[in-house]
Amino acid sequence: MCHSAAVQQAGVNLEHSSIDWSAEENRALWERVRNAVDQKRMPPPPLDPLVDSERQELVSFLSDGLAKNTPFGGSLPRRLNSAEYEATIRDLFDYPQFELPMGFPPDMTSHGFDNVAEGLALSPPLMEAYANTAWEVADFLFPPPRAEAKQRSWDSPPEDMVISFSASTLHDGVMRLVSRSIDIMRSCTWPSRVEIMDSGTYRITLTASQFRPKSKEPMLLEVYAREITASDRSKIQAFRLLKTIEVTSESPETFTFEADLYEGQTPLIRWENAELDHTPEKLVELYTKRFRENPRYLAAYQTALFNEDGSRKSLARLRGRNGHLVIHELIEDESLDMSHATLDSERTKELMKIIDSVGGMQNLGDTLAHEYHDNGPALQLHALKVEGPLKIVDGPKDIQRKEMRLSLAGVKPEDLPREEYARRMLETFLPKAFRRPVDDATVDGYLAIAKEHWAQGHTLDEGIHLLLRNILISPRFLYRGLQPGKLDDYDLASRLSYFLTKGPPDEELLAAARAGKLSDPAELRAQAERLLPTTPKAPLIQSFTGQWLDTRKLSSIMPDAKFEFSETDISIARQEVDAFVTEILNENRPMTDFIDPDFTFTSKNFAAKVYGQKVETSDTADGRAVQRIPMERGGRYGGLLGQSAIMIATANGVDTQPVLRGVWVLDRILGMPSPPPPKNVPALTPDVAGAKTPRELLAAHTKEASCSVCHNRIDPFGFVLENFDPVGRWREEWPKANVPVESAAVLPDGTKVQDVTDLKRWVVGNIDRFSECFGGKLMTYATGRAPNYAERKEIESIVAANHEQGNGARDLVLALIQSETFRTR
Amino acid sequence: MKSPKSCFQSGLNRRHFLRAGATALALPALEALPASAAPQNGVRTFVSVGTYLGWHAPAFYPKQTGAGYEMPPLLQPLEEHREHFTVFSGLDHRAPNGHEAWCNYLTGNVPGSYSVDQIIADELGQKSRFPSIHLIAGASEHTNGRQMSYTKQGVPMPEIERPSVLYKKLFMSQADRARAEYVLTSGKSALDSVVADAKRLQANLPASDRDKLGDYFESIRSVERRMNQQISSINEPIPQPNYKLPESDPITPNLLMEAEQVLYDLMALAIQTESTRVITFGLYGLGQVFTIDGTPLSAGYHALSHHGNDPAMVRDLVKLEGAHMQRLSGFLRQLREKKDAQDRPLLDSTIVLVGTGMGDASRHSNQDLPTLVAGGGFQHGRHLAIDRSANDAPLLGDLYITLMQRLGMETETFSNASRNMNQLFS
Repeated sequence: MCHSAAVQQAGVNLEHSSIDWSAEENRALWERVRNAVDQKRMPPPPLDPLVDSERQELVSFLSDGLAKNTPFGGSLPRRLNSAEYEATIRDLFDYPQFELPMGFPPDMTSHGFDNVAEGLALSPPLMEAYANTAWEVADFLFPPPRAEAKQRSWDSPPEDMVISFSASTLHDGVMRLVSRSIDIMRSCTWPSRVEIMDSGTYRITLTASQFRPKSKEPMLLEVYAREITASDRSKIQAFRLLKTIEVTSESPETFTFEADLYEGQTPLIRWENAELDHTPEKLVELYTKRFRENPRYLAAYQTALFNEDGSRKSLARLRGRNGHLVIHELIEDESLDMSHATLDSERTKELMKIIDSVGGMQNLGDTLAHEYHDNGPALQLHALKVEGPLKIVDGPKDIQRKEMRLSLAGVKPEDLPREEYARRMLETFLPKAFRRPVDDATVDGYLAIAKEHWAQGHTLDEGIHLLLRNILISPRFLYRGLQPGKLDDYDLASRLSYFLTKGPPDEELLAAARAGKLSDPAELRAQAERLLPTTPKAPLIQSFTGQWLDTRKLSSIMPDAKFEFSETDISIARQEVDAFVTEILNENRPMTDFIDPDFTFTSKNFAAKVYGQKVETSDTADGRAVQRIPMERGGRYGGLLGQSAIMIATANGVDTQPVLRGVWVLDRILGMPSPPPPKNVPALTPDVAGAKTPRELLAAHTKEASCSVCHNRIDPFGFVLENFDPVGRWREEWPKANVPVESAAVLPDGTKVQDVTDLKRWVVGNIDRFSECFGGKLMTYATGRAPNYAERKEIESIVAANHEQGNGARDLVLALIQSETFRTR
Repeated sequence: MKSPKSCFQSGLNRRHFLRAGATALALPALEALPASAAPQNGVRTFVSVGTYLGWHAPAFYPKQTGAGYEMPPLLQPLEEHREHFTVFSGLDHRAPNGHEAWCNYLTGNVPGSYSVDQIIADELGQKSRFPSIHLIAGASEHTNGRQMSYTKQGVPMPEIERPSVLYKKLFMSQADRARAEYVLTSGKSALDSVVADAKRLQANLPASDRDKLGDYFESIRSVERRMNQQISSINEPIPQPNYKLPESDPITPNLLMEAEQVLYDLMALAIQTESTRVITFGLYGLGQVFTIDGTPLSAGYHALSHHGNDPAMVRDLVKLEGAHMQRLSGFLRQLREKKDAQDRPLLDSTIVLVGTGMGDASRHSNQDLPTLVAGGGFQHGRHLAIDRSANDAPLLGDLYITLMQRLGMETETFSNASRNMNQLFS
């Protein structure tokens, strides 16, 4: 006997004279037994299977026992995970820019999600990170005293200014600017050794001139304030315009003005009305003009970009000043091929297409910029000086700090004793921080911390600084769900809020809890309706979908170069899933739309490139924008079993592994997780397998009786998806092996499927199984525990009832929120 | 790409870093240490320098193998140290290609996993004031996901970009110490009240919940212990070198070379004062156009790295990387000139690993990673060429195992490597 007390195969001992149903681990064990027997996985071959009547009897005995004896609930106290912690600090202090410091310990995943109590351990390094973050927040509100501002004067000669891409060039100690762009790295320069230490008013003096102007129009020199640590990839709109100066003369003029610069900033210089504008439209216009004026210029570009047979050359060597030099060398070359150098030639049309694209703009825009750098018109900078502070002003941080302090504790009236002031603060702040009412003893306990500190001679602010540091490491702040049993109104508010928004309950929700109304089903439903996400960027969509469907993995999967799949493509693939799920929830679409919808969300270019859809593509905003695109039902693409992001997430960027996809379908779509694979079994990758056909490989894999128990379930689902390559494009043949993809399979219930369209039909026909899976995942995410037997039974009955009433996805979510499962800790 | 953030938010703000520096300084773990357990050879410090955009392999690899090779163009600035370093070709981690490549440099074939410097720091780092120090130059933006160094749990180590912050961390002033001491002392005394409140809370919970909160109490106690150590160590003497920092921090990308110079100076001081045993230093690269020997290069750093084998682009890329090598040469010179307490050159007790996670940035390939090792008491002066196509070809990880063993660690494996290169390199 395999599972006797003596043998205990797989660590399972079933030798008992009776079952003690009250112990949770026993219920878990007997549920595993029930499922293994029910799904005919046990006893395994070569043993004889149970006869049907025996099996049914055993299954119904165990089902009854489980149903009668499993209490609802059982989440352990849940530590806020890092995203929830960040959102909670932001909310608590009205501090939207707060970000976790780099190196903050990440969370562990349990039952597929990073917010499940079991996985959310608290370790010493994490506690230390909490303590340091609390210190950081307290320091932001009550910073340590700082030294008095020092008067300084910075001279920043052009040699000390930044040269980024083609934005500026240096000519005998004079800096030239030639172009405008929203990208500062393609249009601006700034001093590299000026960094304001004290927010204040400063005197800025700069000397500028025109270089070979084309018209009498003044050149508009703009001075912005930029954070010296801002990314060079920043857009100009991110910065504050300090002054626009009209430069009108070819001899240097000096301008002086006063402006506020804040801590960490430096001036940024831009030429607002430069002729060269880094947009494809403008580049096409400027290039066309130059090509018309000088056919040799056109021929040089054609030679630099095309081989003789018309095939494309790499743009790489045309980058920067090098490209400019290459072109001019070609222009001087007597043997330059002029045979295509007319504006209407095919070659020229091809060339214009390159210029009229983002890649072309980035490379050829730089090449053109150097024409201006050499020949003008350009705006020249000769000197820049910053002096001050003439007077100290509040920077944005100072202003924010004041507002945050005001909302934390208000202004202390002169005659109010500091102890009373701090008590009032605690009486409003503690319930907010702990997300439930606090008793006097708790308030007194914290107040004592401040009192003791003051007694040692520290200031009022230092006392509050210390209080904050301690409140933010209290378990009442760091954990939620500390009251066992049925959730009271406050804990229900927290559960609902962290579930739907990943943040703490807002004032409206807390008010409902205070009034004792939240446990009223109508009120709970109304609040849930209010908080359900409406955009794909919403935390619930990003976090739940990303983990349920594994699309979080996309950021770390880099498809092999042969797939020509860019980072933008990956981003669009991820957006597709998020927007798709959002639409289904928002529009209360039937659950079957998850599998076989008549729409998707992607860009037209992506739809054409990856899904072969007949849509108009273009390298324009319309071609690139993610939008709702109609699809025919019943097709290969669309739905969770046909989207690119899913196929990327279930492959590895290079080849596909049907076993992995099969396991994924079972767990994420059908709610039938597979046991972990035995160690030391190599991955099966049929599309690189060379001589043997994948079926042959797999046959060996499933011949072994011990393997076949699981693989007979897993492999059919994996092989059906083999038509999708590692980025989700359809293929008829396995690469390398060069044999047709064999996608036909027999599903565990005996259904024969030819390809994914049949599989979709089958899932649609068994849609409740998918809905139960979805409901189970959602409740795991919401409650922080994997649903137990009784809870899954409840989910099943909610799914069945919802099916009767139109099977709307939004309705299902709302019904689950009303469930016993959701409302019990 | 994320939109630019306010400087507080970016985490790169000066004050933020000063504070981070102070915290970090307050945190060296001076736990009861075994008496100096440096191996008999005295090699105790590990430095690794990596470029984000790779090294141009054809200019990095000598044409001849073994000793007496003709110095390749990129390594010419290192000629004076010829007998103090070894060039390796043909090594890599067999890691996947792509933009994420950078982080395979020290992590092996799974980018973002436990990096070699952290493995060393976890074993040897506790024997100095800072278990490890992580630096970067030329970044000016978040390098999230592109760090060199990762903890055992896969958490990237934050990097310091400002020399002033590193200086403060290493050689903390009296005022900074006073502030750190105040924060630690007050924080520790208040912990008792928080723990008392937590206990009241715990008393009402069922047994399984009480267990769960056990984590909390254990962690709080650990933090308290650490605070105690820090308080007792905060007034221990800290060496005060006579070094003049530049007026402002060279943190804009175009000042990469200057930042590199200053950070190398401070690294040498950190090693000399035995402040740490592990340093990583990342050399980042964006669109900045450098002026080298008075001439601006023909394109920005990133564009040059995508040279497409254009001779002019390659020439400028090698010029630029050569400027990195000049600064590295200066660093090696300092390590040879400065002496430790036993009057031995620092380079004898320091391993300097120079490499990259990018074999060919032009193609985002990370096969065949240019690598060199200086110091550490190895027999140097050679070019060791590895035939990648051989079945038993050593991996870069095998070299790392040899380096770890040289530091006295009894390590037999690293990432996908489980041998060593002791036969070839000792």
